Amino acid sequence: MSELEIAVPRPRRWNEPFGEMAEADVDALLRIEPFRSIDANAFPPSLPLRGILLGDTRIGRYQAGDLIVREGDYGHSAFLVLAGTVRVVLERLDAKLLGREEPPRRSWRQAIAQLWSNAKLPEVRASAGANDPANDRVGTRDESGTARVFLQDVPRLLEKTGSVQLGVGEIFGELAALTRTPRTATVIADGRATLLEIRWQGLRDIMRRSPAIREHVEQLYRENSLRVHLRETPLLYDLPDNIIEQVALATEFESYGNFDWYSDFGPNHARDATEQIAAEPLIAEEGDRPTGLLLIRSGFARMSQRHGHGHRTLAYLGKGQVFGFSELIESHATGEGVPWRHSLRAVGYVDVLRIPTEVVRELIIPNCGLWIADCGLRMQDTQQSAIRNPKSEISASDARLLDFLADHRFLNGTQTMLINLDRCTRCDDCVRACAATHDNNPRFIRQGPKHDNLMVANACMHCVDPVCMIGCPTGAIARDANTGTVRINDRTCIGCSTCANSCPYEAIRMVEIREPGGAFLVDEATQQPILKATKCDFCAAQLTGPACQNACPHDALVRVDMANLTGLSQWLGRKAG
Amino acid sequence: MREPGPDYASRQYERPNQPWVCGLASDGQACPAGPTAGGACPALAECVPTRDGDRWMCNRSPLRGGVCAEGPSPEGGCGCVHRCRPVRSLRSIRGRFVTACTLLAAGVLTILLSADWRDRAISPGPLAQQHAQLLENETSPNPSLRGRGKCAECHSAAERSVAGWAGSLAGFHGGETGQSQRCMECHKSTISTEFALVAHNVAPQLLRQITASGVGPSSNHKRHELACATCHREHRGAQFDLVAMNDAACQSCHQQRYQSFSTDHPDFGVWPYERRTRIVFNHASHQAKHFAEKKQAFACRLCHVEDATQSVQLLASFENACALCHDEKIATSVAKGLPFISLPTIDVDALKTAGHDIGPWPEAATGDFDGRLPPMMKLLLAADQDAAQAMTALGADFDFLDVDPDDPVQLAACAKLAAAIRSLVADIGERGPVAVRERLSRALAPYVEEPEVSALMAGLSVSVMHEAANWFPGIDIGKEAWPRDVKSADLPARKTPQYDPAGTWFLDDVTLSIRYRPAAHADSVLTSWLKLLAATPNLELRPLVMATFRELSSPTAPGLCASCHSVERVAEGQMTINWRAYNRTTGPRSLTKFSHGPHLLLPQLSDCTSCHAINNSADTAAAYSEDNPHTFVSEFAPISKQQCAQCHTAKAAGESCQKCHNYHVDEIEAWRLGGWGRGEAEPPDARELGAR
Amino acid sequence: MSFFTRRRIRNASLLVLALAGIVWWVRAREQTLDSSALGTGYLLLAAVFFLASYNVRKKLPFLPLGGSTAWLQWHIYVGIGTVGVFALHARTAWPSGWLEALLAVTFYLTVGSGLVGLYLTRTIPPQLARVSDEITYERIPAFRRQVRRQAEEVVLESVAASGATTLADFYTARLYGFFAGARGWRYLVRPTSALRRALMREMQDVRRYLSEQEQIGCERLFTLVRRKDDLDFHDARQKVLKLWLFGHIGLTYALVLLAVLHGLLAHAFHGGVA
Repeated sequence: MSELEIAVPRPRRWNEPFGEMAEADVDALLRIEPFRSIDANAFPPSLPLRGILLGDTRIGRYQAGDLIVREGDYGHSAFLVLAGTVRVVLERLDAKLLGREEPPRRSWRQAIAQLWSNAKLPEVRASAGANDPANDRVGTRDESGTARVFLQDVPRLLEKTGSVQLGVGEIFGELAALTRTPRTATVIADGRATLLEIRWQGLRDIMRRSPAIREHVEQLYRENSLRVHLRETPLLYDLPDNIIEQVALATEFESYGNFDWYSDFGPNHARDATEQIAAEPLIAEEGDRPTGLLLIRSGFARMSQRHGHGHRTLAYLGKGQVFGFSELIESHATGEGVPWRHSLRAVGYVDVLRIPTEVVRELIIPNCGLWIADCGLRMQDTQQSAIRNPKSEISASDARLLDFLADHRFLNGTQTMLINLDRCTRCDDCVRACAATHDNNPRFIRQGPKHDNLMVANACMHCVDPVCMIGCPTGAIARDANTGTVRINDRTCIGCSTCANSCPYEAIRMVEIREPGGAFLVDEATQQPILKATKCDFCAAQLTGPACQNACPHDALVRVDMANLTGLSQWLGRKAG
Repeated sequence: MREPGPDYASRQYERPNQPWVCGLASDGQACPAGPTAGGACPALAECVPTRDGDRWMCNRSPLRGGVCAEGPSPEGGCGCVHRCRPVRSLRSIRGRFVTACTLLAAGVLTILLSADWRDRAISPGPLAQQHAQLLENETSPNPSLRGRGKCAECHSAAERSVAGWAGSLAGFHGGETGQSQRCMECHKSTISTEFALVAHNVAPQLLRQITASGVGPSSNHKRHELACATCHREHRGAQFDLVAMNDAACQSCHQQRYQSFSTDHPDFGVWPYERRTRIVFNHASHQAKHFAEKKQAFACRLCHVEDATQSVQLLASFENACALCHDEKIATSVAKGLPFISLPTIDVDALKTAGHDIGPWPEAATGDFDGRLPPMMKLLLAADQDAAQAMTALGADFDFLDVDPDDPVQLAACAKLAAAIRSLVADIGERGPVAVRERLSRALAPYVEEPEVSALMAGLSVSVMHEAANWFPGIDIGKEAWPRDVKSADLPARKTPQYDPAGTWFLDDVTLSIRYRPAAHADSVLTSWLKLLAATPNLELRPLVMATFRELSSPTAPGLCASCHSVERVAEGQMTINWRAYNRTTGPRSLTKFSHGPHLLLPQLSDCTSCHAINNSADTAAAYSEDNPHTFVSEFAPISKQQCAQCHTAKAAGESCQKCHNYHVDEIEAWRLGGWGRGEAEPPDARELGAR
Repeated sequence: MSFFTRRRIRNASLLVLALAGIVWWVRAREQTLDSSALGTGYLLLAAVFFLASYNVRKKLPFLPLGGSTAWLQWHIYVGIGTVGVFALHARTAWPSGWLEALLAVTFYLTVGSGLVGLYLTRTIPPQLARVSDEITYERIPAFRRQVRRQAEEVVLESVAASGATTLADFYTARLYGFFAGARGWRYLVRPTSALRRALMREMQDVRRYLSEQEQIGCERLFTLVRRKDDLDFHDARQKVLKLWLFGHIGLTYALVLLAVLHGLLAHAFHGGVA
């Protein structure tokens, strides 16, 4: 043991509990459903049910009109109604009404202070970090009893918009919690209500060991997901409610690929491209008779066309996009069967809604009626423009690029760091800017997979589907409720490396931390260094936006949303020189 | 809990921002701890082995590469302890390099600015040839500059330190006010110091009077002053033309836009005939009449000859040009000689009857009142208060012939005058030049100096005056030579110039007068008297002196001086007699310059009349009837601008301002520019002129 | 027309316009008795400070001072513009005073190094992108050592497997030096593939004398030679990209010092206005 190391207790799960749960509260919970019927013996001693309830839940008391869940927020918890009722607002509410605010940023003084207050040594931790994105408590009242966000005149609001009432024993919010997606609806307290909020890690662990709850939640998930999704599909906007209901009944919910796809993906599992495509679960195959209209619910699907002996990627379909509509329209118009022109494969894990051909033909197309052209236009807007618009015919180089992006699953990224190597002078300004804004620590590596002159650097892409969050035992890695930026709460991170191992892009790095004097912190029990997961936080609190992009003098570095392929190809089309 | 993947050890963040890099990094074995903030190697063990029974187990973190091959030592120490000498990162090296460069530059500057080198180091370039000698301190023309630093000859800043320069930056305008003054330390002989920095060296108020707008010098320059360096830019090398100036520079004040000489330059007006010629000469009559009569060719260049610089046409001398005809007339006019002292005929009886006893009066000069007093004698008498009153009573221009013997007032005046005449003769006889000097000093107010008196009486012998005294019985002045009571202290310190007797003095006992007969043209005695009178201030206010001057300077007066040498009024109520024709080579530097030489080379201009055309109809005689030389009728037709503009275009002879104009003018000219003489303004105050 | 070409045309036209404006102003000043030297001098000083402040901006990435891209564009075009303003200010290409000559030399060197740097930063990156994967400069020595170790292993293995020393002899004679370390300064200035091609040829020639096991080793050596050459290329070119800044920034602060002193002198010794 040298003086350069200081032994401290290793941080553990529940060191930072979700809320202030008393043992008595837990006892009370264990006396009611659904917890009463859970077999506590199914839990290992290291992860007792009591522990989960103590550390991963909290009880919130709400007054009428209090906002519980805000549509569009990235939620990390599910709710169980313990007393009273809540209302799920079915229509979109104004963001201002919902009290959405700009995320806090540093002041100029604080920004300048980084010039001298940054640590001299790498990975120094002065004290526990303060911000906890998972702990954004929208609706609960603070100590003084003041509501954080409060909706005025709830009855009138509800008159105008459709709503669903939920009572004691019902669960909501599980969709966002489990799929790492934004909340699909706003929930407000109907009167006085008491809710149990369960951190999604706790919910996951309970589901894993209690089949009844798992089934219940999965059932809920399927139902809610289907309706929400159908309502959100542009193609079905204009359909009357009763038709939607009929469509919903006929729609099949299908899942493709492995939910844990990231475990056998990544640089360690390098594969031949053809092999990889072949390994991807097939959702629809080119040349087959259309079995229905396919709506992507979550994940990514690769749309490809046969080219020689392999498949050429044409596009990626993400959440909300539609596959097979043009074929159905054409066959409806001509009366002849038109086969699928493209293949659709699951990249990773994909949820698909299949509306059978007959339903489309009988319920959707007739009701679109005169607006078929309009529907087509809408489709162009939303997705297949790259294919249907001859002007943007995919060129060979674009196809190669798409293959590259798909092979590496970079399409998941919303803030992917791309570097144009024809312009990058390797000056490391980006890395230094990153370090200067992160207490003297870079948060990415200026290296990564390369395609022609394009390099995808080793920085967190802030994925649409952040699989890194899946295994986190404490919820330290979470999305910012407002922006969706994936951030790690240094205080609650226990250094278990799960996220780092889960990330298919190697964007998360474990580091050994030091105290301000420069000594490494080691676990007093095992003498092992204490680790923390680190990665790009997209400079959320900085005044400048992403410092890396801002610091690049040569127009070489950009953070790109992969969903916006037009923007990407525009940036690439700028050419070097 | 899962542990990091196997390749993580090599996939740590690159940290180019850190100043120190592990010395083993180049081997690819950088230790996980890395150098300390101070750049020391912590020599940290990679793990703390744990004890398992009696065996020590390696406990290396997977992040550091997992369990090591060597394993712990038997004592339980870690086998993986790296020692290195940390190296600086590239950025750190660059930072030190930049600091070194900056220090080097600062060092070089410190050396350059140290005393011995400083002047040479900060000089922005060599001076123009004319100023090069300034840098030779020991030979500086200005003794006060000797021993100063080289730069200090012109720059006061050179006497200050670097900190002083920084200080002067705070009050910028106070930075180098002294520079122009330092220029003037050498240039004061050619440019008046007071107005050296004013536009054209003309006093601002005068300048304002003569500009069309009345605005005066450019309002850009608040103090109406321009530093010398504004136009004369130095440190541009030995061959740099310090006086070159472009037209646009002129136009920064002269705001009327000027594109070309032919279109934009104002007409010349009467130039160059802005005043009558100093020598009265009628070109028309000489050409048509006098030269023709004498059968002489009338050619301009017979009288107007080129000077050495070939830029100015000078007038030929009297001897060469005029004497042939005019010598004879002059000789005739002075044949009888000019009276210096002349006794009038006094009616002694009438005076006696009236009760005035004037004592003995020469018999030959006794009878009815008659005779004029010579002008010079009047002046000497004017020194006597009684005589002055008497002459005033009789009228400044009186003649004894006009005295009314029945008028008691006039008789009383005559009596006083007669007494005064007698004492004058006695006085001069006794003390000669001393008496003359005293009397003139009293009569003309300003002190008349010894040499001047010598000039006035050059050649007048003691015996002549002694004899004159003998006209009066009873005056005994002895026979001693002059001067009797001039003390050595009264004599001017400087050497008295010798005035050769040019003409002859003689005593005329018939007319009882002392007379002077000038030798020839330009007689020094006669001119001395005229000069003395002309230079007397406030002539207008002294009728007696004025009358005297008028008499002597009449065109018909003996010597005929004023028939050719024009008389005109100058400043302070003085008059001047133009003894010489205008000589531009010695004349004041004016705004306009012209060189005849190159013009005369042109065949079409070689005949002067192509520019100077005689206007036969002009009445030139009238031009000299007044004292103001600017009230005149020129006998030459004015030169028109168009004549010049034929050649003076941008492409041919040039049309830049400096072609014909000077910037700096002499003070006399500056004063003239003020407008006096054209009747537009009063002449400047005498003291103001005197102060300059 | 690519984005960059459009931007270049736009910025260059703006620069030309600005310079034309300055020339016009200087002309107008020179036409009168006023001196333009003070004006252009201050403009130059301001430009030098602005150009130098880019270095400061880079140290403050956390302040919203505008993107570095925009700064670099301004830096480049203002920098080129200063040459024009300098010419207007100094009149002669070569001032005759010591201090001013020193200032001019420093200025020319600074601008020159900047232009050289601009050329390098626009031409080297595509060269690097064409050759091998992205290699981080700091890791090159480690990679080089790794390659060398691998090469030695290959040779030792082939000696052990075949018992012949032909490949080992060749390695000692020709390849040992190549793998030992970095290339010389000549390669830094002008990297060529001559040595690699020569070594490849020689290896090709030596192959006929090799046993079967040695052939396999030789095959792997081929790859390693290529890898080492790529490393050298990246090393040399990236070093050049980093080294030019040494000169450029080093000169910058000397230039600022000299310019400030020159300005002080100009003020203190100024005699133009009464």
